[in-house]
Amino acid sequence: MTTQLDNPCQDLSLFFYKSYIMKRIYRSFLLCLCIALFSVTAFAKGVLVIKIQPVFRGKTLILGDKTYVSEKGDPMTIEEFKCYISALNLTGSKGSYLIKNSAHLINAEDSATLTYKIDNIPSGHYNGLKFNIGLDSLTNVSGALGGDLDPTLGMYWAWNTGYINAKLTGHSNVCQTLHNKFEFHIGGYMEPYVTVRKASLQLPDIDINDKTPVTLTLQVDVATWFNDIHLFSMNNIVTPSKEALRIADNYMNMFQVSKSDESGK
Amino acid sequence: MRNRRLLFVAFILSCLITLFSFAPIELKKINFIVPKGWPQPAYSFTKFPLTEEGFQLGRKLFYDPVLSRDGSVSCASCHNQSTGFTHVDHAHSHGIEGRTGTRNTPALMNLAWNKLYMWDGAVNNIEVQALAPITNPIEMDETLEHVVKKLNSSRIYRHMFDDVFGDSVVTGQHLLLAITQFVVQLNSYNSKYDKHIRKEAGGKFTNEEEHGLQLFRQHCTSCHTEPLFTNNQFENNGLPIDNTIHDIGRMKVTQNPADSLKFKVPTLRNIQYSAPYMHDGRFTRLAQVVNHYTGGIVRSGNLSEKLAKPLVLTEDEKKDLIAFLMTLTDREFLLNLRYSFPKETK
Repeated sequence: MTTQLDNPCQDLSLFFYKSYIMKRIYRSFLLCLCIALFSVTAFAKGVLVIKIQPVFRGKTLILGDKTYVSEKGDPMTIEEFKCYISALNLTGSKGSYLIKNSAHLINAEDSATLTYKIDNIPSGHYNGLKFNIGLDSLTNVSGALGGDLDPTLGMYWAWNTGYINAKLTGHSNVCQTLHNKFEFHIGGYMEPYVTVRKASLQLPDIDINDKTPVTLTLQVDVATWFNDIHLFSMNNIVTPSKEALRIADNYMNMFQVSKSDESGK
Repeated sequence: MRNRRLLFVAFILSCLITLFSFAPIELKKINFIVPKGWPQPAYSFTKFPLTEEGFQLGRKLFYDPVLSRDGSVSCASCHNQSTGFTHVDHAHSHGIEGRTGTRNTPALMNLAWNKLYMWDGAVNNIEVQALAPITNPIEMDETLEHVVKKLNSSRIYRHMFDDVFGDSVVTGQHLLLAITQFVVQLNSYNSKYDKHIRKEAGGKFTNEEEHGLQLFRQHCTSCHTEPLFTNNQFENNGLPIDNTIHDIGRMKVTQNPADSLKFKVPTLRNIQYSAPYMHDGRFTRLAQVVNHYTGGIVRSGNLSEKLAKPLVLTEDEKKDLIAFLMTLTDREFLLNLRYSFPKETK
């Protein structure tokens, strides 16, 4: 495949390659400049690190083999858990601070996504954290986006454009489906099936300053998804629908926050 | 000694040459042309301004079967330039392994003026449109992740992407933006009709065409609104339900029964060559289309109110109407080498 693609213009490719190196040099120079500038202006800013911890009823979530039992008594294993949080907003004594472009994809399988570091937060005391579970409608109509919003991350619907806000799949022997699979792809940004939800959490008093980063643990309990749900009758939700709204209402309260190094049982 | 000096000069010279060739490339900006008298496009070009390099990258991707799972189908397989970027002779196009779709390939032109894409409006932004055919099992049956992986294994593509986006790692976003750069520039506004409106050479209408235009403005223009020849709305145009496919149209997206059997009003530009017609390609001739509107409409609950009054045309009037529709052919667009297979990649 590669040779077939590379054939048309070898000489051109060399030219591109050279300019590519130059750009790299140029970019690293810019980076140094940015770092220098940052260190000058950083005195009033701090860092917040959010450690995300997927759990099932308080216990660390293990994907694959471990069997869990839902509130209604359905046994299950969990295959995949992904969820967007966005529009993070810290509230405190000096008012609130909206973190720009803060859409973040949590993927239980990818530990890198379970640490979310936020720089440049104005120093001060904060005691509240608000965010969207999922993405707002503007994001959903904004075309091709990058980073955590890149459509290659398995959270974008092609057949009916828009993001999947949260995804949970697994197996349960009560599901009379192929391989006993259940699939919840919760999305939809248009009325009447708007599935984005707001979380508003009380924080233990935190002091953001330029000396030490503050670490918070954000527990996300996927057991909440199954509240009042029988997997026998509800096991395949992959479109914006009434059922999707019901699940979204269920998981609205799945997040809990604590100051770090006390959970992780 | 002399040798050494020669070497030194050669060294300096080569340094200079390398420095010179390392100078950063300035991307060539392209100004999007809004033809005189046309509305502003719905698509915003501010997020990612058009450049010649972006256009050429998008063009290369449009014609490259690398987008399909087995490397057999490109965008151009179903969107053929000479027929207004649709699939001539195919009511329903076939994707990889001869898998047949359920809808007629839409013609591609003047897309920046659209708001929703596909026959049912399932796609809300031109930038993400290409995702649908890439991932549809009956079209390209590929995943965006895998296309990105394939492109990243190509040195040429990595360099082209680096040039356009300043990032040699191909991402899903950049792939989609590049294709967008090409497709939003497929604009048709130089038909005989356009020249007639602009009172340019080559725009003189015959009596039949002139009469056809009058009939058109009297009976068709509420949906096929000039100058784009679509109102960008979804309408039930009274086609009898097809019992093999049961396509409910827009309702599939909105789940609203009021949208049952509604489909996007297509542009009529280049209609002479974009046969077959209708969302399922059921008509092969323009005469059949006109006859549908004069005598074939099924009056169901949510028939477009614009079709409430029965249309009566004499045989001569039908001929004149079709004569007018032929003036929407834009040969400069259909034969423009800039939009064709990128042979001259130099």
